[in-house]
Order: sequence, then C-alpha cells, then structure tokens
Amino acid sequence: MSNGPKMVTLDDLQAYVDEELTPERRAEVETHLAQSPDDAERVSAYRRQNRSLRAALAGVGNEAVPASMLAVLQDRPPVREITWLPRVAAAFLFLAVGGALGGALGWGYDKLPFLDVEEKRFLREAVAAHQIYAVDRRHAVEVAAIERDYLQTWLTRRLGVPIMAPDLSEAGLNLLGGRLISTVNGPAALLVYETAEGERVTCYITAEAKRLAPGKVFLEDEATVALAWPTSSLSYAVSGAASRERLAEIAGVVNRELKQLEDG
Amino acid sequence: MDDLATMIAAEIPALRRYARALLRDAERADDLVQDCLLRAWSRRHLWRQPGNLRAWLFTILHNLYANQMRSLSRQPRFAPSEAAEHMGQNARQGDQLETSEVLDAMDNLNDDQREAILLVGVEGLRYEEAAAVLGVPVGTVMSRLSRGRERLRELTDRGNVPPIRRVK
Repeated sequence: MSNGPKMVTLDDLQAYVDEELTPERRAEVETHLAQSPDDAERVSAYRRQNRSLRAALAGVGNEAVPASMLAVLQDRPPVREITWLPRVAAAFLFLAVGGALGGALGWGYDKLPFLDVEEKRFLREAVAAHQIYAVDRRHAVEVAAIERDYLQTWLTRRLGVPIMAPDLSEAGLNLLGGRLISTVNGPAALLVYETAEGERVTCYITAEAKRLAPGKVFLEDEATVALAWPTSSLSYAVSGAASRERLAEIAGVVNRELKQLEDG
Repeated sequence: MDDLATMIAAEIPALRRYARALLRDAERADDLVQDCLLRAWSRRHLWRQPGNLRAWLFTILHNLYANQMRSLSRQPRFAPSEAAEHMGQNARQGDQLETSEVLDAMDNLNDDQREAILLVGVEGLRYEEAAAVLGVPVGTVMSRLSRGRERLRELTDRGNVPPIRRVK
C-alpha cells in the first residue's frame, strides 16, 4: 500500500467506497487500486456487502407502515400531564375512546399507540398475574389477609420499597391476601381483593415508578380490564373483570388510601 | 397530518429496516420504532428546520437501542446448544426474519460495527451524519467500518459464517 503519494489506508478504502474522498484523494486511491489487486478486491467486497445487505433488507422497507405507528404522529390530548382527579376522568375518556377505537379497528392493547414497550410489558404482567392467580379459589395468595402486617413486611422486604395493602372496603373489597411474583425485571407483588359476591380484583405492584409515564395507562384484554399509574415510588395496576368505571373507582380509592398511608 | 408528521412518516420504512437489521425480530424491531416515534413526536419542539430529520430520528432510535442492549446485558443470555442445531431448531423465532448469509454474518459483528455499516452502507448516511447519530467522532465511524467490513469479508467470502449466532 505504499505506491501513492500518501499511503492508502484501510480507512481510505472505506471512504472510497462510501464516496467521502476529495476528488484529489479519490484519484490517488484509484491509482493505488490499479496496482494493488488485493485492495481492489477489498473494495469490491465492500460493495458486494452493501448490495447484499440492501437486498436482504429491501423487503422491510416495502412493507406497509403499521397504523399504530402513523397514529403516533397525530395530535391527541396530552394524557401525560394531568393531575390525579382529572386524570381519572382522562383515563375514562381514553378508555372509552380507546375502547371504541379499539373495537372498531381491532386493536388489542398491544397496538395501543401511546404505550411504550415498558408500559406494555408492565400491563401484560399485571393482567397475566390477575388471570393466573385471581381465578384460583384455593391458592390465589401465599399469605392471607389475617397476617396483613406480616404480608406487608414481607413484600416490603422483597421489593425493597414500602408495600402497603390499602383498605379498599370503601369500594366494597376485602383483602384476601398477597403473593410475590417473579418478573424478568425483579420481584412484583400481587394483592388479591374480593367482593362479598366473590369477584376478585388484584393490585399489581412493582418498585419501578419510572416505568410508567404519569397519568396513564389502561388496557383491556378479553374479559380483564387493567388501569395503571405510577405513585412516587411504585408502578401500580389494578385489574379485574369489571367495568371501566368500576375499575377507575377502585383505582381512586387505592390512590387515596395510599396517600393517607404515606402521609400518616 | 401536518408537514412534520408527513416528513417523519416518510422515514418510517428506513427506521424499520434499520431496527429489523439490528434486532432480527420483526416484533421487537417494530416496538423499538414505535418507541422512537413516540419519543420523537413528544419532543418535536426540539427539532428545528432546517435540520437533518433523518439523522435526528436515527439518533433517537440508536439511543433507545443502546439502552435496551444495556438493560438486556444485565439479564442472562441464551445461546442455542449444539444439540438444538442438530435437531434443526433455530434459536430465533423465525417466520419473519430475513434469511440471508450476510445478515447472519452481521450477527457476528459487535453492535458498534453493525450500526456503522448499516447507517452508512444501507441507509446512505454521510460519515458526519453517522458520527452524530452514534455520538462518536468521524474517525471512529471509519475505523468501525474498516474493522466491521473486514470481519464481514472474512466471514462471507470464505464461507465461514459460524453456526452459533448471537442471541439477544
């Protein structure tokens, strides 16, 4: 590689292929290539690589753009920056709109455009935990409500942040107990509540408030509706086979109770 | 859609192509692009014309990808066992992935090299643009290209693509 006025380096060969050289340098490299079959072969190999890569990926560029991606680029009400009470209302609204749209367009929660990957993962976990454990008549919980203090201490220790089991009697729900759930991101807590009629609602909690943007998120999956929001130190979701209104009511009670527990 | 939305929408195919090449999994790649669009749209006030919209979008995508890889690196990794290879199983879930020797070979390069090759060689970014996207000097982009393309040459031109692929 020493024939040109300045030695031709491997970097020069990249820049030659990528057309980043000045005309003068380009001429020098061409002179060099005429005398160096090895480097000439390098250059054609690099070009072959580019061609094969473009060919292998050409199909992706021609696929129809998913509607969920285009939906992001439309202006919607800023759900993110609303305080709690209006937020519940906003949640309602979004649920209603999302539900109607979702029904019309066949969107599952997977395709709701405003959820990022982490939010979707959190909601999927919450709904999965609900669907697996809430239906289990005998083994829904590991620690029963009769040991409420121990339950809270245990979950607090395992999650590393204070976990309280809020009193949801105002919403007609009695604590059945709780359990620990394993997720790829670490432990989660599941609190199971029950109405007098035996209907169950779960609270799914992880120690990562940053996972959820403030003021969202809700989803429906078959019979289960979930509503999620971040508190100061937790990500929280309530799930149940309930109406959206009912779930938002429960979420409101949870939040009020948690606030009281925090303040007191 | 307004003008900016139209301009961003026009870049979606390129973003998907790039994400697909990096992740080799259509669903995860589209999730990444969706995140990228969410972020870009919520921060669109930060982008000022006349700017390089494409480079700006690729920068967001690159940063999200790098974060994802960082958090994945803290989790256990899996690789197909030789037994699985013999049983004809593929480590990747596969109906949507592009089958090609060159993409398989790319999986043996590190992310720095793959990103440089894809941005410059496939997406046609100038060195300066690729450097801005990746947050490194132009010289670094060039050395990543040199090393990556040489490695790729070793692998493909001599039929050496190793059977065990990187799994993320």
